[in-house]
Amino acid sequence: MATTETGSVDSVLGREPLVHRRPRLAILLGRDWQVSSLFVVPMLVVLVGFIAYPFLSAIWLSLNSKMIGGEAHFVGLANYQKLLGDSAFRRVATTSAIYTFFGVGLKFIVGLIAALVLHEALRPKNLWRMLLFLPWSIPVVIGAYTWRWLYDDMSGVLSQTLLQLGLTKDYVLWLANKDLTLRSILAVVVWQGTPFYMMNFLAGLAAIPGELYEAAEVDGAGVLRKFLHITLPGLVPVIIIVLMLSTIWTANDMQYVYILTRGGPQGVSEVFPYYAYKTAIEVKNLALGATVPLMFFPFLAIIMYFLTGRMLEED
Amino acid sequence: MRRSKLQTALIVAIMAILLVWTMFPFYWMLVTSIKENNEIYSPLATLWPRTFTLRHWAELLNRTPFLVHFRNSLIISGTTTLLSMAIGSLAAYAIARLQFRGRSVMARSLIYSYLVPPAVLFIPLFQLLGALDLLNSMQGLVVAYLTFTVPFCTWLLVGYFKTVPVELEEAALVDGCTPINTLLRITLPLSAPAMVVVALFSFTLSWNEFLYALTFTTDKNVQPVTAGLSGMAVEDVFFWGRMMAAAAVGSLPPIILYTAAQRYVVRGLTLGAVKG
Repeated sequence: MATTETGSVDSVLGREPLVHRRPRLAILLGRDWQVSSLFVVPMLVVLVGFIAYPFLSAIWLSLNSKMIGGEAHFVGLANYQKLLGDSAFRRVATTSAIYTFFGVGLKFIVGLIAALVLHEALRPKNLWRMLLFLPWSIPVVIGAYTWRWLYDDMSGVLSQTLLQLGLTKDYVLWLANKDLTLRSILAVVVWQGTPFYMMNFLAGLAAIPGELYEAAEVDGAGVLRKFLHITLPGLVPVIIIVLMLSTIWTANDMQYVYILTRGGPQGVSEVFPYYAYKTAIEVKNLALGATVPLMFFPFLAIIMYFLTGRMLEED
Repeated sequence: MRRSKLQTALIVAIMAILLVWTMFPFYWMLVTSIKENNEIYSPLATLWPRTFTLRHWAELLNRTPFLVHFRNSLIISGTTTLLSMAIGSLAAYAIARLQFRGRSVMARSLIYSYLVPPAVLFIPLFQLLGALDLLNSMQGLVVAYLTFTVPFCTWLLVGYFKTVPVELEEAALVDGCTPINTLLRITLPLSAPAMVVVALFSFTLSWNEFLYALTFTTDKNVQPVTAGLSGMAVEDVFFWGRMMAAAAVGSLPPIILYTAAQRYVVRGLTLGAVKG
């Protein structure tokens, strides 16, 4: 590339000239644009073809009426209006909010306790950590089926044990009793989701310098003060990232509800991702189903925006 | 740090509760799978089986398509892993090392892509795969799984490649190595820990996925384990012995992988945002 510059001071001195005469495209697109485009094309096919395009087509679909196998007709915002006016959808929104709030909150509390205890735990620490991580490693479907069996009305171990201990007078309908269903589902959500919090909090705890605690002990600080003034502030960056990621994942998960209750009894445990699945695939109303998660997307987009900022910052 | 006896007792007590709460479902899964039916459905739960039987395991292997599902899961997760590692490392090398316009936009869109939930994507992907004639095929599921593994792999590798000393690569490039050779011979071998993380997560996330598998496949010959399990209930009647045997086998691959690669796990959990 430097050949056109022969005779300049730089090339006489054996240095690269400061200004290359590059092809125009290289100036416009960057030095390595040719190799780079070859390297990023496969990734762009996935990002654009299978994420961005489907996302945009979901928005387009939500502006149409379309059943599986049927023709699409543009209907404007009719799907959105239909959902907003539907009392079943309003109940789904409330259930989703409760489900996400308590799911995330409980996982946070149990995960923090688990991490603090494990951080202090007696040997063999690695074994305890490995065992406590197990629920997160297995498929959610398998965790949910296992609990469905534990929750079985008549043959389930939980119901039978309570009966045998005389704590209840009758079989407990963990999933069929309207007042218990959501709590029973949340217990499974917490069981399987807590290890994610625990592992990240453990990593956060390990990163807090031990000298801080020693200095605090010299000053006579107790357990509570050390926790409030050293541990918790040290964990804040991890806590923020974990809470944001987990809120997105918890809110958008349909697996526990699908396996444990299919939204029952009488729809009390329907969360929006399950409602979307039911509407689009089981009722075959694709367009209305696609509209359901989009109604919640603005909330999600706010979290995604802040989370992305954090991730780029960390990098 | 010194601890009082009371503190130690408290720690032991909480640990014990956590371990029982975590492990009991696993124990019950295994124990149910080796009990006779009359004991499984008896009104009195037995903590230890009165009689042992391998009947449910034999039934699972002989009378259900479980082995086919297991093989499908291996094929789908394995292919997704290899493809996403290849696609991810190429793109990550370009983003981390090469100069071109749009690098920072790409970095940002990787995170956004990773965070777009399957709940939003599964309906349009259902249409798209239908249009490409990929519904009810393992290829279709691989394509769907790339939507979460590729952003994940690429982002993690970009972060790691930046920590690999650039001098070695520059020396290789000066010696006339092509960028692709530099990536294969210098950058990738030096990034072995990151490759372990992306392989581990690509495989296990694909293995555990359910919504896409449920929506995009109905043919038993192409369904993976997760979707196959929900087909094992006949008219809402569960054969719990058989079901728990399937649950145990289906959990095994991710458990083995996560346990073996335990020290790499934290890096992958949050896309590397929390350093382990």
